Amino acid sequence: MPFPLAGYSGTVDEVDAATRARHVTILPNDHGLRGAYSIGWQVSTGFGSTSRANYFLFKNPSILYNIVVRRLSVSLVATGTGNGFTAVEAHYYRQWQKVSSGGTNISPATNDCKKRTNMATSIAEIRVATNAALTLGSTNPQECGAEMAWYGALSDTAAFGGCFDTQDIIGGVWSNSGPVILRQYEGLVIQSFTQNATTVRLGGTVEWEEIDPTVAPTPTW
Amino acid sequence: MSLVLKGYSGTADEVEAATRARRVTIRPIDYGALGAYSHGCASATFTAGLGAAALVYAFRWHSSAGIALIRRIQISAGNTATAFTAGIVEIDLFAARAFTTSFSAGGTDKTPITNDNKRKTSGMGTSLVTQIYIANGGAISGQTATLDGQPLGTILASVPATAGTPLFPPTDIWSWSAGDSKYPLYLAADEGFVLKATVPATGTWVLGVTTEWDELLAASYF
Repeated sequence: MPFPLAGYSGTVDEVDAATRARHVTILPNDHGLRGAYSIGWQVSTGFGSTSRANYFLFKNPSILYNIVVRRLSVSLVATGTGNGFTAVEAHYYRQWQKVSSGGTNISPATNDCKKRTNMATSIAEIRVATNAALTLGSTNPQECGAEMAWYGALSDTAAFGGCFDTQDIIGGVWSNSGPVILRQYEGLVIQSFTQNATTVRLGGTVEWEEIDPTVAPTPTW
Repeated sequence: MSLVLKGYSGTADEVEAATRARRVTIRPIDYGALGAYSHGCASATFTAGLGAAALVYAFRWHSSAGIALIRRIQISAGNTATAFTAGIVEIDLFAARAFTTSFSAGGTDKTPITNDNKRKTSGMGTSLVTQIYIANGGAISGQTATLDGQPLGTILASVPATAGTPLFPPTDIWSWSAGDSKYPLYLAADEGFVLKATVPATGTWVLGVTTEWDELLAASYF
Protein backbone atom coordinates (compact mmCIF):
# COMPACT_ATOMS: atom_id res chain seq x y z
CA MET A 1 0.00 0.00 0.00
CA PRO A 2 1.46 3.39 -0.96
CA PHE A 3 2.13 5.79 1.88
CA PRO A 4 1.83 9.59 1.71
CA LEU A 5 4.93 11.61 2.48
CA ALA A 6 4.58 14.67 4.71
CA GLY A 7 6.93 17.55 5.40
CA TYR A 8 8.03 18.99 8.74
CA SER A 9 4.82 21.00 9.09
CA GLY A 10 2.58 18.11 8.10
CA THR A 11 1.81 19.07 4.49
CA VAL A 12 1.70 16.08 2.16
CA ASP A 13 3.53 16.59 -1.14
CA GLU A 14 1.97 15.90 -4.52
CA VAL A 15 2.74 13.49 -7.35
CA ASP A 16 1.58 14.28 -10.90
CA ALA A 17 -0.91 11.75 -12.24
CA ALA A 18 0.44 11.35 -15.77
CA THR A 19 4.19 11.41 -15.19
CA ARG A 20 4.24 10.09 -11.61
CA ALA A 21 6.82 12.77 -10.81
CA ARG A 22 6.96 14.19 -7.29
CA HIS A 23 6.80 17.97 -6.88
CA VAL A 24 9.96 19.59 -5.55
CA THR A 25 11.06 23.19 -5.35
CA ILE A 26 14.73 24.16 -5.26
CA LEU A 27 15.81 26.39 -2.39
CA PRO A 28 19.24 27.95 -1.91
CA ASN A 29 21.89 25.98 -0.07
CA ASP A 30 21.85 26.56 3.68
CA HIS A 31 24.72 28.97 4.35
CA GLY A 32 24.29 28.77 8.11
CA LEU A 33 25.37 31.98 9.84
CA ARG A 34 27.40 33.31 6.93
CA GLY A 35 25.90 34.37 3.61
CA ALA A 36 25.82 34.61 -0.17
CA TYR A 37 27.56 37.35 -2.12
CA SER A 38 28.20 38.78 -5.56
CA ILE A 39 30.76 41.31 -6.80
CA GLY A 40 31.32 43.00 -10.13
CA TRP A 41 34.88 44.00 -11.03
CA GLN A 42 36.69 45.68 -13.88
CA VAL A 43 40.25 46.62 -14.76
CA SER A 44 39.89 50.37 -14.86
CA THR A 45 42.77 51.41 -17.13
CA GLY A 46 44.06 48.26 -18.75
CA PHE A 47 47.44 47.01 -19.88
CA GLY A 48 48.97 44.44 -22.18
CA SER A 49 51.40 41.61 -21.62
CA THR A 50 52.89 38.89 -23.79
CA SER A 51 53.22 36.61 -20.76
CA ARG A 52 50.53 35.58 -18.30
CA ALA A 53 49.68 38.56 -16.10
CA ASN A 54 47.43 38.64 -13.05
CA TYR A 55 44.34 40.76 -13.68
CA PHE A 56 42.06 39.64 -10.84
CA LEU A 57 42.35 37.54 -7.72
CA PHE A 58 39.84 36.03 -5.31
CA LYS A 59 41.08 34.30 -2.16
CA ASN A 60 39.78 32.77 1.05
CA PRO A 61 41.99 33.96 3.94
CA SER A 62 39.79 32.47 6.67
CA ILE A 63 40.54 29.39 8.72
CA LEU A 64 36.96 29.39 9.97
CA TYR A 65 34.91 29.47 6.81
CA ASN A 66 34.92 27.82 3.41
CA ILE A 67 33.98 29.56 0.17
CA VAL A 68 31.84 27.91 -2.49
CA VAL A 69 32.27 29.67 -5.84
CA ARG A 70 28.97 29.63 -7.69
CA ARG A 71 29.81 31.64 -10.77
CA LEU A 72 32.75 33.48 -12.31
CA SER A 73 32.07 35.43 -15.49
CA VAL A 74 34.65 37.37 -17.46
CA SER A 75 34.70 39.68 -20.45
CA LEU A 76 37.82 40.95 -22.25
CA VAL A 77 37.98 44.10 -24.32
CA ALA A 78 40.96 45.23 -26.38
CA THR A 79 41.55 48.91 -25.88
CA GLY A 80 44.76 49.16 -27.90
CA THR A 81 45.70 48.36 -31.46
CA GLY A 82 47.11 45.00 -32.35
CA ASN A 83 45.70 41.75 -33.61
CA GLY A 84 46.83 38.26 -32.68
CA PHE A 85 46.32 35.48 -30.22
CA THR A 86 44.85 36.15 -26.77
CA ALA A 87 43.91 34.08 -23.76
CA VAL A 88 41.93 34.32 -20.52
CA GLU A 89 42.72 31.68 -17.92
CA ALA A 90 41.44 30.94 -14.42
CA HIS A 91 44.09 29.38 -12.18
CA TYR A 92 43.75 27.70 -8.80
CA TYR A 93 46.27 28.73 -6.16
CA ARG A 94 46.77 26.85 -2.91
CA GLN A 95 48.96 27.39 0.18
CA TRP A 96 48.74 31.08 -0.66
CA GLN A 97 49.28 32.72 2.69
CA LYS A 98 50.58 36.25 2.13
CA VAL A 99 48.36 39.17 1.17
CA SER A 100 48.81 40.23 -2.45
CA SER A 101 49.54 43.71 -3.76
CA GLY A 102 49.07 46.03 -6.70
CA GLY A 103 45.90 47.31 -8.29
CA THR A 104 42.93 48.03 -6.07
CA ASN A 105 41.71 46.11 -3.05
CA ILE A 106 37.98 45.64 -3.57
CA SER A 107 37.37 43.24 -0.69
CA PRO A 108 33.80 43.76 0.54
CA ALA A 109 33.24 45.86 3.66
CA THR A 110 30.13 46.02 5.88
CA ASN A 111 27.09 45.37 3.63
CA ASP A 112 28.95 45.34 0.31
CA CYS A 113 28.04 42.53 -2.06
CA LYS A 114 25.54 40.79 0.24
CA LYS A 115 22.61 39.15 -1.49
CA ARG A 116 20.59 39.80 1.66
CA THR A 117 21.37 42.63 4.05
CA ASN A 118 21.21 40.62 7.28
CA MET A 119 23.96 38.24 6.17
CA ALA A 120 27.44 38.43 7.68
CA THR A 121 30.13 40.68 6.19
CA SER A 122 32.16 38.75 3.64
CA ILE A 123 35.65 37.51 4.52
CA ALA A 124 36.87 37.23 0.90
CA GLU A 125 40.12 38.92 -0.22
CA ILE A 126 39.55 40.40 -3.67
CA ARG A 127 41.87 42.55 -5.74
CA VAL A 128 41.75 43.86 -9.30
CA ALA A 129 44.49 45.33 -11.48
CA THR A 130 44.35 48.89 -12.78
CA ASN A 131 47.25 49.47 -15.22
CA ALA A 132 49.76 46.76 -14.24
CA ALA A 133 49.75 43.15 -13.17
CA LEU A 134 48.89 42.18 -9.59
CA THR A 135 51.65 40.69 -7.46
CA LEU A 136 50.56 37.57 -5.65
CA GLY A 137 51.47 37.12 -2.00
CA SER A 138 54.74 35.28 -2.16
CA THR A 139 54.63 32.61 0.53
CA ASN A 140 54.58 29.46 -1.47
CA PRO A 141 51.67 30.17 -3.78
CA GLN A 142 51.17 26.76 -5.31
CA GLU A 143 49.75 27.21 -8.76
CA CYS A 144 47.64 24.30 -9.86
CA GLY A 145 47.38 24.98 -13.55
CA ALA A 146 44.89 26.61 -15.81
CA GLU A 147 41.69 24.95 -14.75
CA MET A 148 39.50 26.90 -17.11
CA ALA A 149 40.58 28.86 -20.14
CA TRP A 150 39.51 30.56 -23.31
CA TYR A 151 41.80 31.08 -26.26
CA GLY A 152 40.94 33.30 -29.19
CA ALA A 153 42.11 35.99 -31.51
CA LEU A 154 41.86 39.73 -31.51
CA SER A 155 40.59 40.02 -35.02
CA ASP A 156 40.93 43.70 -35.74
CA THR A 157 43.88 45.96 -36.06
CA ALA A 158 41.70 48.84 -34.88
CA ALA A 159 41.46 49.66 -31.20
CA PHE A 160 38.32 48.39 -29.46
CA GLY A 161 37.92 45.86 -32.21
CA GLY A 162 38.16 42.51 -30.45
CA CYS A 163 36.79 41.03 -27.27
CA PHE A 164 35.34 38.10 -25.39
CA ASP A 165 31.76 38.99 -24.53
CA THR A 166 30.71 38.29 -20.95
CA GLN A 167 30.68 34.53 -20.42
CA ASP A 168 30.82 32.17 -17.47
CA ILE A 169 34.25 30.66 -16.99
CA ILE A 170 32.85 28.85 -13.93
CA GLY A 171 29.26 27.79 -14.53
CA GLY A 172 26.29 29.86 -13.51
CA VAL A 173 23.95 26.95 -12.83
CA TRP A 174 25.32 23.83 -11.22
CA SER A 175 25.08 20.48 -12.79
CA ASN A 176 25.74 17.63 -10.38
CA SER A 177 29.48 18.00 -10.77
CA GLY A 178 31.45 19.23 -7.79
CA PRO A 179 31.63 22.99 -7.27
CA VAL A 180 34.80 24.99 -6.67
CA ILE A 181 35.48 24.96 -2.92
CA LEU A 182 38.11 27.30 -1.47
CA ARG A 183 39.48 26.58 1.99
CA GLN A 184 41.92 28.81 3.86
CA TYR A 185 44.68 30.25 1.67
CA GLU A 186 43.11 28.94 -1.52
CA GLY A 187 41.95 31.13 -4.36
CA LEU A 188 41.43 31.83 -8.01
CA VAL A 189 43.41 34.15 -10.24
CA ILE A 190 42.34 35.43 -13.64
CA GLN A 191 45.34 35.72 -15.94
CA SER A 192 45.55 36.95 -19.50
CA PHE A 193 48.10 37.56 -22.22
CA THR A 194 48.06 38.78 -25.78
CA GLN A 195 50.43 37.88 -28.60
CA ASN A 196 51.39 41.48 -29.32
CA ALA A 197 51.00 43.00 -25.85
CA THR A 198 47.77 44.61 -26.94
CA THR A 199 46.28 46.66 -24.13
CA VAL A 200 43.18 44.99 -22.75
CA ARG A 201 40.65 45.54 -19.99
CA LEU A 202 38.89 42.68 -18.25
CA GLY A 203 35.70 42.77 -16.24
CA GLY A 204 33.34 40.29 -14.71
CA THR A 205 31.27 39.01 -11.82
CA VAL A 206 31.90 36.49 -9.04
CA GLU A 207 29.10 34.91 -7.02
CA TRP A 208 29.98 32.89 -3.94
CA GLU A 209 28.75 31.53 -0.63
CA GLU A 210 30.59 31.41 2.65
CA ILE A 211 29.96 28.30 4.70
CA ASP A 212 30.63 27.74 8.37
CA PRO A 213 31.32 24.00 8.32
CA THR A 214 30.47 23.71 11.99
CA VAL A 215 26.96 25.08 11.46
CA ALA A 216 25.79 24.46 7.90
CA PRO A 217 24.70 20.87 7.26
CA THR A 218 27.35 20.33 4.59
CA PRO A 219 30.37 19.21 6.62
CA THR A 220 32.37 18.10 3.61
CA TRP A 221 32.46 21.72 2.49
CA MET B 1 9.82 -4.86 1.77
CA SER B 2 10.02 -1.64 -0.20
CA LEU B 3 7.90 1.30 0.83
CA VAL B 4 5.82 2.82 -1.97
CA LEU B 5 5.15 6.53 -1.56
CA LYS B 6 2.17 8.43 -2.87
CA GLY B 7 1.30 12.07 -3.25
CA TYR B 8 -1.51 14.15 -1.80
CA SER B 9 -3.97 13.02 -4.50
CA GLY B 10 -3.08 9.38 -4.11
CA THR B 11 -0.76 8.84 -7.10
CA ALA B 12 2.30 6.74 -6.31
CA ASP B 13 5.50 8.20 -7.72
CA GLU B 14 7.81 6.28 -10.04
CA VAL B 15 11.45 5.19 -9.98
CA GLU B 16 13.19 4.61 -13.31
CA ALA B 17 14.16 0.98 -13.97
CA ALA B 18 17.59 1.50 -15.49
CA THR B 19 18.90 4.40 -13.42
CA ARG B 20 16.85 3.76 -10.27
CA ALA B 21 16.31 7.53 -10.06
CA ARG B 22 13.09 8.84 -8.54
CA ARG B 23 11.07 11.11 -10.80
CA VAL B 24 10.61 14.67 -9.62
CA THR B 25 9.38 17.80 -11.30
CA ILE B 26 10.60 21.25 -10.28
CA ARG B 27 7.79 23.56 -9.17
CA PRO B 28 7.98 27.33 -8.78
CA ILE B 29 8.48 28.78 -5.34
CA ASP B 30 5.20 28.97 -3.43
CA TYR B 31 4.42 32.70 -3.59
CA GLY B 32 1.23 32.39 -1.53
CA ALA B 33 -1.07 35.37 -2.01
CA LEU B 34 1.58 37.43 -3.78
CA GLY B 35 3.06 36.51 -7.16
CA ALA B 36 5.70 36.31 -9.88
CA TYR B 37 6.36 39.12 -12.34
CA SER B 38 8.35 40.09 -15.40
CA HIS B 39 8.88 43.65 -16.56
CA GLY B 40 10.57 45.09 -19.63
CA CYS B 41 11.20 48.70 -20.51
CA ALA B 42 13.41 50.83 -22.71
CA SER B 43 15.00 54.19 -22.09
CA ALA B 44 14.53 57.19 -24.31
CA THR B 45 17.57 57.94 -26.49
CA PHE B 46 20.48 59.08 -24.35
CA THR B 47 22.03 62.31 -25.55
CA ALA B 48 25.80 62.40 -26.05
CA GLY B 49 28.00 63.23 -23.11
CA LEU B 50 26.42 61.15 -20.39
CA GLY B 51 28.61 61.42 -17.29
CA ALA B 52 30.59 58.47 -16.00
CA ALA B 53 28.78 56.02 -13.73
CA ALA B 54 25.42 57.62 -14.51
CA LEU B 55 22.36 56.10 -12.87
CA VAL B 56 20.09 54.82 -15.63
CA TYR B 57 17.64 52.33 -14.08
CA ALA B 58 16.21 51.75 -10.60
CA PHE B 59 14.06 49.16 -8.83
CA ARG B 60 12.85 50.05 -5.32
CA TRP B 61 11.07 47.76 -2.87
CA HIS B 62 9.35 49.47 0.08
CA SER B 63 6.81 46.97 1.38
CA SER B 64 7.32 45.44 4.79
CA ALA B 65 4.48 43.00 4.05
CA GLY B 66 6.62 40.95 1.73
CA ILE B 67 9.99 40.50 0.11
CA ALA B 68 11.16 40.53 -3.48
CA LEU B 69 13.48 37.82 -4.85
CA ILE B 70 15.22 39.09 -7.97
CA ARG B 71 15.56 36.27 -10.48
CA ARG B 72 16.94 37.94 -13.57
CA ILE B 73 18.11 41.34 -14.78
CA GLN B 74 18.77 41.34 -18.50
CA ILE B 75 20.14 44.35 -20.34
CA SER B 76 20.55 45.20 -24.00
CA ALA B 77 21.76 48.40 -25.61
CA GLY B 78 22.37 49.81 -29.04
CA ASN B 79 23.96 52.86 -30.56
CA THR B 80 21.54 55.03 -32.56
CA ALA B 81 22.26 57.56 -35.31
CA THR B 82 25.31 59.28 -33.82
CA ALA B 83 28.42 57.15 -33.45
CA PHE B 84 30.49 56.93 -30.29
CA THR B 85 34.15 57.65 -30.10
CA ALA B 86 35.61 54.14 -30.09
CA GLY B 87 35.85 52.97 -26.49
CA ILE B 88 34.48 50.91 -23.63
CA VAL B 89 30.93 50.58 -22.37
CA GLU B 90 30.53 49.52 -18.75
CA ILE B 91 27.31 48.60 -16.96
CA ASP B 92 27.34 48.01 -13.19
CA LEU B 93 24.62 46.57 -10.97
CA PHE B 94 24.58 47.99 -7.42
CA ALA B 95 22.51 46.99 -4.40
CA ALA B 96 20.68 50.01 -2.92
CA ARG B 97 20.03 49.75 0.82
CA ALA B 98 18.30 52.22 3.20
CA PHE B 99 16.26 53.40 0.23
CA THR B 100 14.03 56.09 1.73
CA THR B 101 13.21 58.40 -1.21
CA SER B 102 12.34 57.24 -4.71
CA PHE B 103 13.84 58.64 -7.91
CA SER B 104 12.05 61.76 -9.10
CA ALA B 105 14.02 63.32 -11.95
CA GLY B 106 15.46 62.37 -15.32
CA GLY B 107 13.38 59.29 -15.96
CA THR B 108 10.05 57.69 -16.66
CA ASP B 109 8.07 55.80 -14.04
CA LYS B 110 7.28 52.25 -15.21
CA THR B 111 5.87 50.87 -11.94
CA PRO B 112 3.28 48.11 -12.50
CA ILE B 113 -0.39 48.66 -11.65
CA THR B 114 -3.37 46.27 -11.49
CA ASN B 115 -2.52 43.26 -13.68
CA ASP B 116 0.63 44.70 -15.20
CA ASN B 117 3.54 42.28 -15.47
CA LYS B 118 1.87 39.35 -13.65
CA ARG B 119 2.94 35.94 -14.91
CA LYS B 120 -0.55 34.63 -14.11
CA THR B 121 -3.58 36.86 -14.02
CA SER B 122 -5.63 35.01 -11.45
CA GLY B 123 -4.31 34.26 -8.02
CA MET B 124 -1.47 36.76 -8.14
CA GLY B 125 -1.70 40.12 -6.45
CA THR B 126 -0.85 43.46 -7.99
CA SER B 127 2.89 43.85 -7.64
CA LEU B 128 4.04 45.52 -4.43
CA VAL B 129 7.11 47.02 -6.09
CA THR B 130 7.35 50.69 -5.14
CA GLN B 131 9.11 52.06 -8.18
CA ILE B 132 10.63 50.97 -11.47
CA TYR B 133 12.27 53.95 -13.12
CA ILE B 134 14.29 54.25 -16.33
CA ALA B 135 16.21 57.17 -17.79
CA ASN B 136 14.63 59.36 -20.45
CA GLY B 137 17.82 60.63 -22.06
CA GLY B 138 20.17 61.46 -19.18
CA ALA B 139 21.00 60.34 -15.67
CA ILE B 140 18.19 59.75 -13.18
CA SER B 141 18.27 61.36 -9.73
CA GLY B 142 16.30 62.59 -6.72
CA GLN B 143 16.65 59.42 -4.65
CA THR B 144 17.96 58.79 -1.17
CA ALA B 145 19.63 55.39 -0.90
CA THR B 146 22.92 53.87 0.18
CA LEU B 147 24.71 52.08 -2.62
CA ASP B 148 27.22 49.34 -1.87
CA GLY B 149 30.89 50.17 -2.20
CA GLN B 150 31.28 47.46 -4.83
CA PRO B 151 28.81 46.41 -7.55
CA LEU B 152 26.98 43.09 -7.55
CA GLY B 153 27.74 42.58 -11.23
CA THR B 154 29.68 44.19 -14.06
CA ILE B 155 29.63 43.88 -17.84
CA LEU B 156 32.16 45.41 -20.22
CA ALA B 157 31.96 45.70 -24.01
CA SER B 158 33.76 47.63 -26.70
CA VAL B 159 32.19 49.89 -29.29
CA PRO B 160 33.75 51.08 -32.55
CA ALA B 161 33.20 54.52 -34.08
CA THR B 162 30.42 53.31 -36.32
CA ALA B 163 26.83 54.50 -36.00
CA GLY B 164 24.20 51.84 -35.40
CA THR B 165 26.50 49.41 -33.60
CA PRO B 166 24.98 47.08 -30.99
CA LEU B 167 26.52 47.69 -27.55
CA PHE B 168 25.16 44.60 -25.82
CA PRO B 169 22.97 41.85 -27.16
CA PRO B 170 20.47 40.75 -24.48
CA THR B 171 22.79 39.83 -21.60
CA ASP B 172 22.02 38.74 -18.02
CA ILE B 173 23.79 40.92 -15.49
CA TRP B 174 21.92 38.97 -12.80
CA SER B 175 20.49 35.48 -13.05
CA TRP B 176 18.89 33.04 -10.63
CA SER B 177 17.05 30.21 -12.32
CA ALA B 178 14.44 27.75 -11.10
CA GLY B 179 16.88 24.88 -10.81
CA ASP B 180 19.58 26.91 -9.15
CA SER B 181 20.48 26.43 -5.50
CA LYS B 182 22.48 29.63 -5.15
CA TYR B 183 20.96 32.54 -3.29
CA PRO B 184 18.82 35.13 -5.10
CA LEU B 185 19.02 38.87 -4.51
CA TYR B 186 16.70 39.28 -1.52
CA LEU B 187 15.05 42.69 -1.13
CA ALA B 188 13.51 43.57 2.23
CA ALA B 189 11.71 46.84 2.99
CA ASP B 190 13.40 49.92 1.50
CA GLU B 191 15.94 48.01 -0.52
CA GLY B 192 16.44 47.85 -4.24
CA PHE B 193 18.99 47.95 -7.00
CA VAL B 194 20.23 50.38 -9.63
CA LEU B 195 22.13 50.18 -12.88
CA LYS B 196 24.98 52.56 -13.66
CA ALA B 197 26.38 53.16 -17.13
CA THR B 198 29.67 54.56 -18.40
CA VAL B 199 29.89 55.09 -22.16
CA PRO B 200 32.39 56.78 -24.51
CA ALA B 201 31.90 60.31 -25.79
CA THR B 202 29.72 61.61 -28.61
CA GLY B 203 27.39 58.67 -29.14
CA THR B 204 23.64 58.43 -28.66
CA TRP B 205 22.14 55.15 -27.49
CA VAL B 206 19.17 53.31 -26.03
CA LEU B 207 19.05 50.87 -23.09
CA GLY B 208 16.57 48.04 -22.57
CA VAL B 209 16.08 46.28 -19.22
CA THR B 210 14.05 43.19 -18.35
CA THR B 211 13.60 42.30 -14.68
CA GLU B 212 12.01 39.11 -13.35
CA TRP B 213 11.13 38.72 -9.69
CA ASP B 214 8.97 36.84 -7.18
CA GLU B 215 7.09 38.44 -4.29
CA LEU B 216 6.63 36.36 -1.13
CA LEU B 217 5.69 36.83 2.48
CA ALA B 218 8.96 37.08 4.38
CA ALA B 219 7.96 34.31 6.74
CA SER B 220 7.57 31.88 3.86
CA TYR B 221 11.23 32.11 2.81
CA PHE B 222 14.24 31.26 4.88
